[in-house]
Amino acid sequence: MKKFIAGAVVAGTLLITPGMALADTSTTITPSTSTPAATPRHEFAAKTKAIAAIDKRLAWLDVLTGHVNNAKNLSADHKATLLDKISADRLGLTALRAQIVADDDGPTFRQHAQEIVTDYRVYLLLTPQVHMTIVADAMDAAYAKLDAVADKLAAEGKDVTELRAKIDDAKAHADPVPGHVLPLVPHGYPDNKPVLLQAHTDLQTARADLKAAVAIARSLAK
Amino acid sequence: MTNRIAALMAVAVLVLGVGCGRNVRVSSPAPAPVATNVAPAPAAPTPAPASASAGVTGSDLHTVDSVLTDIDTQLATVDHDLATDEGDPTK
Repeated sequence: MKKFIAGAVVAGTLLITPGMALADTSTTITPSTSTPAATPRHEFAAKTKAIAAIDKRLAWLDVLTGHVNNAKNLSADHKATLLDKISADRLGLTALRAQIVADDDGPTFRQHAQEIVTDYRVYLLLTPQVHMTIVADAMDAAYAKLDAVADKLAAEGKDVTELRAKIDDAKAHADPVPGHVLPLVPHGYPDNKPVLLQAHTDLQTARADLKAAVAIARSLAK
Repeated sequence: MTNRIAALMAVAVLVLGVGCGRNVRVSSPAPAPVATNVAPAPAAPTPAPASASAGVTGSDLHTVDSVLTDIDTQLATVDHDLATDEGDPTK
């Protein structure tokens, strides 16, 4: 009986050990928070928060990269420009993270922590730049399809003057948007915020023009 | 005899263990999907209306509609972008 129990114990150990190893498949990435041993507790907490703020932005840059790569109608030029901006921010924030980890005096740390916002503006500037450019280029695709519809209707003898006017209005509002928003830089914020807001308004107007154009095309097609 | 039974039990437990190990592999967590709020799949097109003219088919306009649906989603994303803030990493 003792041998039986011993055998079962050995077998059970063999069974459980690989199961535990396989179960441990998750990798938890925790922010590096190495600080000098003498760092006061409140500074340690501030440093941890700053590093977390950078890590959050780095993760968001990956998401933005996905948005750019998955945008169906983004022009090659705009795609390259946006990926360059994202890549530059990723490099800069990674370097800044290393500086903050190494910071051992308060004023330098606080300056670096401010730079997370002032030198990058990942959420308030880069993100709208990415999304507005994607929208403007998607509108290009809509014009092309509506132009084709207008051509077909004109070939049938329909009066497409109003339809073409709406398409032109949409183009006039949306086409300049990438040229307005892409040159904006983080250090220009918030002075350059009105440019973003105007671009947003222009995209909404263009969208309304496109919707009206579709309604006109639909009524002409009847 | 007892030794044989013990040996057989050990082998049986080992065989079961390998089976369970495979199950663990199969059930290991899949990577989390990457969330994206851009360019969702367009709604399935509906049949072209019978009244559409021969030249301009319903599918022409439904294609435009699907692009506009994408644009609406993306504009909502821009609305959200402009309503957010950077936070203050120093506080």
